Formats: sequence, structure tokens, C-alpha cells
Amino acid sequence: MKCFATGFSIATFATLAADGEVDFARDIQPILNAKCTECHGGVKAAGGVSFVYEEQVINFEGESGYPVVKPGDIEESELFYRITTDEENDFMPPPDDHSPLSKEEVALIKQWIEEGAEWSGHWAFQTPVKAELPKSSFDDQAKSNIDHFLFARLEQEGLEPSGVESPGRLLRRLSLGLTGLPPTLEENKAFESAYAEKGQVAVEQAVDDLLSRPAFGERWATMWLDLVRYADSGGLGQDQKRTIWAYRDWVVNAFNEDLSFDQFTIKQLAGDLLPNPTVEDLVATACNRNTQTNNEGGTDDETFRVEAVVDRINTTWQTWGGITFGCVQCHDHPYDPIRHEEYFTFMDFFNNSADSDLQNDAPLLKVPKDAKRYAEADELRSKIEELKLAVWEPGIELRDEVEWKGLKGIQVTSNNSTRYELEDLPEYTEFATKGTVAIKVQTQIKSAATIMGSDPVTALKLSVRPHDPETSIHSPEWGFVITNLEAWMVAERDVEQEDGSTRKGEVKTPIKFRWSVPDVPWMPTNPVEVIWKNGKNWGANSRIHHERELVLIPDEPIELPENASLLIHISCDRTGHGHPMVIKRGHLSMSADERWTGLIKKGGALVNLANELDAATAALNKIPGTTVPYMHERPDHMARPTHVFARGNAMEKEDRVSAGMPASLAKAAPVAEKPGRLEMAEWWVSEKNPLTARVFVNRLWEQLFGIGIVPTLEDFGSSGEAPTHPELLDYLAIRFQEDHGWSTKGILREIVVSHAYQQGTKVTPELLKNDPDNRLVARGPRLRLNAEMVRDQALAVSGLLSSKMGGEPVHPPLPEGVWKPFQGGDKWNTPKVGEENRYRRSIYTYVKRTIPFPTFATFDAPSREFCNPRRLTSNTPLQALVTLNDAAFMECAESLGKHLAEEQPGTVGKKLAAGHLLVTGREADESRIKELRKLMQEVEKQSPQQAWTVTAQVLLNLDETLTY
Amino acid sequence: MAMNLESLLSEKRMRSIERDTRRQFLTQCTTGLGAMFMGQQAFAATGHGMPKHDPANPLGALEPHFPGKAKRVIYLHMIGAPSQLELFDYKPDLERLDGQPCPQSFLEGKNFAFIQGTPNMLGPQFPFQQHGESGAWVSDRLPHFSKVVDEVSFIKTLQTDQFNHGPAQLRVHSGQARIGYPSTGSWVTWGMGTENTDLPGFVVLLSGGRQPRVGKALWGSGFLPSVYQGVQCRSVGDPVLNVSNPDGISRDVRRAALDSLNKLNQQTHEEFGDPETLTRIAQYEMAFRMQMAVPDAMDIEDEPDHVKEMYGTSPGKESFANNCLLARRLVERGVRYVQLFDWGWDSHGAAQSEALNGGFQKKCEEVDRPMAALINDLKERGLLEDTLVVWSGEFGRTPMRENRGGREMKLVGRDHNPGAFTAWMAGGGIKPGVTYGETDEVGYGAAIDSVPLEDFHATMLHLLGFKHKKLTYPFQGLNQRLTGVTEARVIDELLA
Repeated sequence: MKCFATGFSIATFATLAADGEVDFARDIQPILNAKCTECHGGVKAAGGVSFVYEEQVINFEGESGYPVVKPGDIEESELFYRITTDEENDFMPPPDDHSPLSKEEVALIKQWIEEGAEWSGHWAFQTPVKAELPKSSFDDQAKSNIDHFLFARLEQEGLEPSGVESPGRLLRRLSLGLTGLPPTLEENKAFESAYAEKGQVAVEQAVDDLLSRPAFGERWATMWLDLVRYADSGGLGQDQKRTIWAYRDWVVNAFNEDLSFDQFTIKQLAGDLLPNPTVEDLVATACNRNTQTNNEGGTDDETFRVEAVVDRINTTWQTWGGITFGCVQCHDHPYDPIRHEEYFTFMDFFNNSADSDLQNDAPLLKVPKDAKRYAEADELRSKIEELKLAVWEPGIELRDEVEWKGLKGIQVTSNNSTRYELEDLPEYTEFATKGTVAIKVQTQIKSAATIMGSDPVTALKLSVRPHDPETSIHSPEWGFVITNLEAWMVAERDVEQEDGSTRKGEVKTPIKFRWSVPDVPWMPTNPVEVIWKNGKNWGANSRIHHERELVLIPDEPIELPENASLLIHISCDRTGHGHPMVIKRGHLSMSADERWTGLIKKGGALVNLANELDAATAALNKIPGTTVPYMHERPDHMARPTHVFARGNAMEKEDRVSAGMPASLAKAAPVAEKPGRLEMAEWWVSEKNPLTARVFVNRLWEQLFGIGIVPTLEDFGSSGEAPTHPELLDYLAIRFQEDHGWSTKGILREIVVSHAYQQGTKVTPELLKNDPDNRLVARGPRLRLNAEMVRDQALAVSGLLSSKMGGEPVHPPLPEGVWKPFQGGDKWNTPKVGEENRYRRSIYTYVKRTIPFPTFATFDAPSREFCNPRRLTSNTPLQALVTLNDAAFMECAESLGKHLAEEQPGTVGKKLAAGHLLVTGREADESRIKELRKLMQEVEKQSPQQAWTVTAQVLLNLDETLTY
Repeated sequence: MAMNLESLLSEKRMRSIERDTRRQFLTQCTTGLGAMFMGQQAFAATGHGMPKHDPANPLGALEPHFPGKAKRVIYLHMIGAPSQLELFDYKPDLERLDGQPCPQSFLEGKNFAFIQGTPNMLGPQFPFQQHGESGAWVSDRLPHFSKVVDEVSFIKTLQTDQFNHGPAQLRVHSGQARIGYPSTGSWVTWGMGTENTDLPGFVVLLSGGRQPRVGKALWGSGFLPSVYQGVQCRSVGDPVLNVSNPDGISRDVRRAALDSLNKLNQQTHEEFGDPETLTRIAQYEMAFRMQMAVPDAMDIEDEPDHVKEMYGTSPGKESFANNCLLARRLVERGVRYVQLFDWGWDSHGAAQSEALNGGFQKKCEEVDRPMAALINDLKERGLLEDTLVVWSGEFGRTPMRENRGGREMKLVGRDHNPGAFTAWMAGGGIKPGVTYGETDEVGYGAAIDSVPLEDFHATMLHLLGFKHKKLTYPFQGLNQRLTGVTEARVIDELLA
């Protein structure tokens, strides 16, 4: 239970000022956070004083009328008075249930004020600075600059580095650390001899080899997928299957190709906004489509769309910034200088993507199975985009140019209990539903109009508005989906009777529409065609907050004789999770402009373009492949307005805001003017950004050493733990960003070739007591294998592991009775013994959020609902039951036993020694072999056929096997 | 599987002596660690809500903030939200309004899952009577339970802000409507460990034929360490995943293997000095004992016939009655938190299986006897006084009859209603015979003393000895707690 060791105090490792100058971030801010910000902070600023913001402290007169801190003058500084006074009513913090500042803390505050009360701000909000390499008496052991930083600190603490790990165990550490897989016996032997000959050079060669293996990407992608909460299901209500594995493969490839971290960032956050994005750029944006969707009956899509946006914000800040931005949703950050409003200015970056918690995860991107056809798909897709615009634009221009005459004097009825009221406006008569609305409504509009005079009608325009146009701007209403639209001309004519006489009667002549112009070019391409076709539709799915318009153009101009009327039936048969998706307010208008007819002339330019569009779409559909939900920005004229939520409550909206970055961070790293999502993405990897490089190198460090230089990976704010080695963190960040050009492999290589990483792990009781978490790295890391490694290693050493990469998620064996998905249809079909997909690396296992794969869950893998910045490592009896009894591990034990018995040469002792070396990287001494032989003999007495299997089980369950 | 289980049980007695020897071994193992773990003062001196666990035994029992009257919890959740208006919340006025159109004021500003247009009011579908000295109203669907009402206290005005099952169930069990937060059982076992580490500290039992829709998220540990997540125990198949030895591996062979493994790991510890190695040895021993203790606890055949009859169990099957008896067996053995989920209470009237004039009545029969038996049985054994039994759904149901699609439906049912639902609690420091809160004349919302879920959670934690504001864990920048960021009140009126 290492996790709880973090409770042990920061003071142990933070160097105190004592003599020398006071450092605000190091010495003062922790005191203010611990003793003051509860009442004078971001959530509550009693008396107007907030110790989070310089301007609310330095020379700031709170309600008491005295400056809180007057630099250089303790007499005039209210803060100092309050923490030292004998007046009980004035003393701070209030004595009833708070402890006062210690003498040392008071002294530090005094010193700080006297020295001028410099407000340097929080360290993580300032761009890293390159420090000089410190010196120590261990420098001759250094193998990389990293060691100098660590050694100097060790010397300061009166400690010394450990010696080098044995070559076998070292290779095992490097191999599991970099690729998540253990070395083979052959690799072990080769390294032993290379190491004996070349030492550090052999290590560097082994590292280069490991970094170049495909397994490298699989191991590091696992870390990343925890952060971006990758899963193959939607979560919440139905937890339905979601096809998004192309994104997982993109991440694996990105690590393997060492895509620079700045590009890695920009593509995931805003790949869709890059000029001419490729398939890969768009697949990368699925990063933000890993949010949960809720498809339970009766749910509110807008609520869960907003939830997804909120999750994107929190995940982005957590993943790239190590900042707990989530708390700013409801109020100013309690400790860090981030204002409540700034949550929503940041929300604006994400608020305008086309996805809206729809069951089908739309919008979806076609991804060819064969990467060789990416270029072809790219070309088709951009051609389609261009053609869509080309087909759409002439119509939309004409729509805005022509004269429209609103229909007045209409009658509106429905086919069910839904009722309408009419309002005569100067331009048209608007209809709106009255009272409750039924589902599946056919709106029947009859116009006795001859409004165009004798001019034939060349186009009809349907305008739909939210039922309450004002409130919907704040809180979008359920939208509408038109599933069918039909129109007739109804004329009163003389109708011939059977007896030859004539009588007045109604004659309905259907009107055929041939073309339409929706208000957006991209949903769908050609609504007339779509509405007509069974099951297709057009409308505001699922929400409406502003007017939507559709122009319909008839085959031929409609000649409306006197006394004739127009009858239009609009069917809206869809429900949104049980809510009626019907038109609740609208009106119609007509145009007599002849250009409409010309526009859609057969053989005309527009019709040809439309044909081309159809052909291109068909060609893209024909390419075999998968799909991935991706980010797609809505057009400007449909942009969703972003409002501040009062106290974080989406139901209570306040001022409208536009996109921006928190001022306190923009100070360190300037933001582009009028930034959009792309500029936001670029900001994270901009030259001066103080967070991104530090946060990422700290993650890599934690993966390798088991604890971060900033132990709270999830909190680089002032309430997180301070870095144990601030200069080292900055050194690594600058190396990563500048010298390695954001190369993950480059910085990893530099870390693992250090002496620090190569040390032995032996620990004395004294060192253990003083540094149980190995924060000072006076010894090498000794870590439990993570969930995926536990299974992958067992498969690897037993010779079962498949090296096949990528593709659809797989369904390896899992215990009976576990797979009971709420929704049918999501089957767990386990490949048979011997079939490759039974033995794939763990990263390819189907991730269902509500039914986590039991082995992984038991070994602390998160279920990926939210960004998971750090796995906690536990050590439980249920883990023992998995590795001892789970059928999949039993299969590995059998296979390993068989391999040792049948394929390893030599005596039983030799075979056992080989097995031991294979699973631990270490030659077993005589007593260990003896113990294993004794076990074999004992098992042989009871069930001889099990002897090798049981012994292999013991090998697979050794403490040294489960750690590295 | 059955064979394996039987042989395990027959072996049980024979192995008891051997087990004692192992215990000694374990004690030796952990004394080394004892030196590292400074005392058993769970929350001492940390100043905030982090319990201090023995790293070698993360589930070891700890003292809560103050001595609570409840030492353990059995939570009975009726998945789908049973109709309070057919069970506990008697509304004569609603009877009079039966069949009349619902007033518009009831509909304005409300969200419904399925009601459309103007539905009609629906009177109680079954007769009610007062019972016991407390005079609690219970419908005729629960004749057995009616006899124990004096042991029970009712909350009539529980309220939620979720009207869909998934989020609402999460809200009841984790305080939040999204998945990814620790369940109450996880908070409690994290806060006070468990009294028998041979068994999981937090056990989940399912009945009704289906898993809850959000699955394991209802008993997940969220951001708490995974060791505190609920462990599903099953009446069919392996009672706990992987608790049985693989086919062909006998218990003797396993013992021999573990002996070797322990020796090799001891050597490793001597060589490298990592205390995690000792912890691992202890966990493997615990797993070995668990392999015995779990099937033993889960074997209801053990029980005398009159007990089986009292609960109405059907051995070898998955049933709510079996699970109630198992719950008693588990708490008797020191399990901290037992969570039952019974599927099938979503009485919309959309299908025969759930309609009020259909499957609902069968569900009532299935739970009536076992609920009463559980309370009586716990009382007889002296366990009720420190075992908190809780019963609830995830929201209430509407006083209107559901009219899916705006039409009258063939069967009778009610839609979801977050405005008011009934829960009951018994034992563990609950003042018996109390009814807290009163709904309006039709049972649509709270009229007097509404109980938000935060108050309900705060009360449960209080009964166990926790200050709900102090049981916190830092995650995403907040000191997270079961009761969330809103204010919560312990309902003193319910405390004995």
C-alpha cells in the first residue's frame, strides 16, 4: 500500500529557508495555503482578502482598512498583526478550531515582509529555468547529467548512491520499463556477455534496441490511455459498444514513431482544425471523443453533452497541465490563481464541436483498414467537403438574396392530441404548439394563400424556431427531426360526376420537390433526397437554440390558381430518449424568384456537382475500414454560445464569455489573439508554457521510478506536493522541450541510461525508514508490475504471447459469469486455445467501463471513466487468487512447465535454473533450486502429471517475478 | 465446480489445526512490519480524513472518528425503483383522484422519462393498513414485513436529482451521478477496514436475474485504492472469482506450493529488504484462508431447516431470499458491508413482468419474507443492535399513471419520480418505529422534512462513527467526500 506513504510530510524533503533569503513559493505559500486560504482564498475571500492573488494582499486594504501586507514594513502589515496579536478577537486563524502559526512560520512571514514581500507566484506557473549542474563527491559514478542533480541531494542528506544492479536484473528492468515485456533467455545471455565486455555502452545499445521495438509503443500507450480515459464502450446508462480502436492504434503508433510531443498534443486537441488534416490528424482528435455518453431511455442529451465538454476541459488540464481545473467549475480555485469565469472562457474552446451525446456517436470518420489507402481516403474526404460546400453555397446565397413572402392566414392542425396556436406577425403567421406535445406528430399546414399573386411559386422556405426562443439561447430545447414532408396543391374545381354533371370539389395535386437548401452544408448533404427516403431525416438533432431553415425547390414552378390552397404535411416521428422531436414553432414563406428553377436545371452546373458528390461519397464508402468518432467544429453561424454557470450549475447561466486562457498562466506563456481550439492546443506546447513539459517528464519519471519528482502527478498547483528535485525537473523539462525537440524516446533514453535508474534495489532498514518511497533515489526502483504487465509477462515467458499489433479489441478468457452486459448484443466470444487473439497483449483487450476485465481491475487498472492521472498500487489476496487460480494464468503455467520440461536442456536442476532466470532475470542460487526441486518431488507424490505446472505456477508467483 | 466446493468443505475441519499453524507463521511475518506501522490510531494526527492503514493489511479493522452504534451494514437495494405508493406511502387523497386528469401544475417544469401530454392520476393499487405499535402504514403486499415494522424506521421523503436509473443508482451509492466515484461500501471499508480479513470486507450479492445497468460502478472504489471495491459473491459458480483451485490442483498440492513460494519469497526479502515482499507473503496466506472461508460462508446448506424456511431460500439458485440469509452469515463472520441488489422493480406498466398489476406483485412476494426474516434473525442473534439494515430504491414513482406515447397503456404502471421516495432503516443505532418526513397529499413530493441523499448518507456515516465532512480523499483538487460539496445534515430524529 505504497499510496498512503504520501501522507508523510513534505517537510521531510523540502529544504527550509533557515538562513538565506525567503522564497515565496517554497516558504510562504505553503503556510498561507495551510493556515489562511480556507477563509481567505478562492472559495471564500473573507473581508475581500484572498491569499491566492497578489492584488488582494500586497498593499491591498481589505475591509479592515489596513494594508494586508505592506512590503518592508511589519508594523503596517495587517497580516503580521493578526498572526501575532494578543487580542483574541483579532487573532488569526480564529483560535476556536484552528491551530495558530508556529514560531518558525511567524518568523518566515516576518522575514518575507521585511525582505520586501516579493510575490513570485507559484513555481509551476513560471517557465522553467536551466540550472547549473550541481557538484558532489559521487560525480565519478555519474552516467548522465541527471545523476549530478540526484547525487548532490544525496550528499546533502548524508546518503550515497547504491551500486549497479546485476546485468540480468538490469536488463529485465530496462525491458519491462521500456516495453512492458521481460527479456527472453537469449536476450539475457547476450546482454550478460555484452555488458561484461562493454559496460555502459552495452546498456545504451540495449536501450536503443528496446526503444525501437513495436512493444515500446504498446507499453507507453497504456499510460496515455489512462489519461485520456480510452474505452471501447460509452459508459453510463447503456454502456454500449463504441468503435474507437483506431484511436488506440494511433496512440501506439505515435509512441513508436516518436511523434514529437508537441505534434502529439496539437493533433489530439485540434487535429481537425489543422490545414488539410489527414486521416491520422482526425483520428487523433478521437482523444476527446472518449467521453461518456448516456443512452438510457429518458435522458437529456444536452445535459450529457455539457458533461462531456466539462470532462474534456478537466481532462485537458489534468493531462497536459497537471492542474485540478475541475474545482474552478464551481468557484475560484481555492489555492491557485484561476478564476471561476476562466473555466468557462476555456469551455468555449470545446463548446462548439458537432457531437451531442447521440447514440451513434456521430460525427464519425471513415478510417480505411489498410493504411495504404489513407491518402485515397484523404483525397476523397476533402473532395467531398469541397463539393458539399460547392453544392450548398449557390443555394444559400440565393436564399439570402431573393424576396420571401411569409405565409399568412394559415390553418395548422396535427394528426394527434398536439395543438397549435397562431400568431399573426407583420411578415407571416407563426404557429406554435400549445400545452403538452405528443410524440410522432404530423404537422398539417393549410394555406389559403394566393400571396404570390399570379406568379408561380419557385421555392418554399420552412423556418423552425425553439418554442421559447429566449430561454433556449441559455438552455437549448429538445430539437426536431423531420422524417417526412409532403405537399399538395388543393384546388376547388368542377369535378365531373358519374352522371355526367359537374360539381365543385377539391382536387389534390401532389407537389414534387427536387432540391433543397439546408442551413448547414454538412448535415445532411441533400435533405430533400434524405427526407424522402425511408428512415432518413433532417433537423436539429438533438437540441435547438436558434432558428433553423430549409428551402425546398419544386421540380417545376407551382402555378397556384385562384381559390387554390397549399397543403403541407410535415412528419416528425422521432423521439429523443422518449421526448418528442417535433417542430414546436415555425412559419413558412415562399419565393417566386425564377433563379431557383434555373439553379436546379437538369444538366446544370449544380446538378453536375451534386452527382460528383454522390460519386465521391460512394467511393469513400466502398473503401473497407472502420470508423472513429472525431471532433468536428460546427460552422460559425451555428456556434453555441458559452455562458458562465452560476456556482457550476449548468441550469443557471450567467454572462456570455468567449474563448481564452487563465490570466495567471497567460502571463507566463502568451496566448494568440482571438484564440480558437487550435491556438489553445498550440499554447500547451508553446515555448514559454510552464506546465506541459514538466508535467509530461514527471509522468515518465513516475512510470520508471514509481514516484514522480512531483509525487502528486495530478496536482502541480500549490496544494500539490513540491518537487523533491526542482532543478532536476526543470532540467528534464528543458531538455525534453528544447534539446530533444519534444522527443519522448530521447528523454526516456537519457533517463534510463543514468546511474540512478541502473542502481541495485537493496535497501537498509534505516534508509527504508527515512525514505520508504525512494524519493531521493538512493537505490534503484523496485516496482510491482502493472496490471497489463502482469498478464503480458505471464504470456511472454510461457511462450504464448502474440506479437500481432492493433485492430479490433479482443476477448481473451475471463472467468465464467463475469460477462453479463446490461445490453444484449455485446458478446464476449473467447478465441479457442491456440487461436492468436487469445494471447494478444493486454492493451488490445476490450475495455468495457461497467465490466472491467477482472484481472486488470484486481491489479489496479482504472476503469477509464475519467482521466486517471496516477494508478495506486495495491497488494491484496485477490491478486494472489488471480495469478494462482485464474484459468488464463493456469494456461500460462502449463505452457511454461511444458516448455521447461520438454524444451530446456539438461537436468531438472538446469531446467529449473532456466525457468528462474526467465521469470526473474536472475540466476537462482543452490538453495532456491533445491527448494523448487523439493516442491516438485512433493507434487510428484500426489499428482505426478502436475509437477511441472505447479512448479511453473510458483515461478510465476514469485515476488521477484511480480516486481521489477 | 461443485465437486471442488464440496471437497473444500469436507476438508474444512481437518485443516483447522493446520490453519492455526499458518496463523502463527503469519503473525511472525507481520511483526517485522509492525515496527513500521506506528500504532492503530486510524485517523490520529493526520488532521484530515485519511485513515492510516497498516500497509501489510490494508483491510485490517480501524476505529472510526468516534464510536458508532453500527459496526456493519446490510443494504437492500430494489433496482428499478419500487413504487412507494404501493408499499409504504399511503395516500387516501390519491385514491379519490384516481382516473382524473393530472393538474397542469404537476407537469410544468418537470422532466419525465416517459409520461407524455396529460396523464391521469392513479390511486394506490393495493389496500393499506396500519401495523404494530408504531402504526406504520404498509400495503397488503408485504404481510410478513408488516409484522416487523416496530423494528424499522421509515424515511418517506428521500429526494434525488436524477430521474434515470443509471445516474440515480450511482447517486444513491456513491453520492454522484457519474461513474468513477467510490461507493458507500468502499468509503466505509476504507474508513474502518473489516473484522475478518479471511473474507472480503465489502461483499455484493445480486438477484433478480440481471446486473444493474451501470454494473460494477455501483460498488467500485473510484479514486480510493482498489482493495476497497466491493467483491461480488455468487450463489452459482465460483462464489468469488478464482477462489477455487484450478481443476486438478488439490488443496495439499496448493499448500506445498505456497510453502515453497513463501520460503523463496522470504529469501528474497532477506536479500533485498523490500517490505512489500512480506506484504505479498501475507496476502498469499490470506488468499489461502479465503479459499476456505468464502465457500464456508456462502454455503447456506449449513443452516437448519427452520432458518431456511424462515427466509424461504432456494439453495443452489440465485435469489433474494438466499442473499438475505447470506448477508446474515457474512455479517456474522465480520464482513463490514454487504450490498444486495434485486433487479426487476421498474413498474412502468410497459410489460407484464414489471406492471403494478403484474410482475410487481411477484417481486413483493419474493422480498417480503426474507426482509422480515433478516430482521428477526439478526435480532435473535443479537446482531441487529450493531448492524444497520437499509432498504431503498433509486427514486420514487409518479402519482400519475404512465401513458407512454401519450396513450393509455394496457397495463398499469407509474413513471420515475425523483421528488419523493421511501427508504427504511433498522438496527445499528436507528430509533425504531419512527416515520420521518411526510409527502404531499398525493405522494409526489416532500411536504414536511425532505431528505436529500446527502443527509441520508451523512446519517449512515454518523451511525458508523464517521463525521461525513472529515471522511475525505483528495482527488481532482477537491477533498472528495461521500456527501459531496453541498451541506448535509445528520437526521437526529432517526437516531436511537
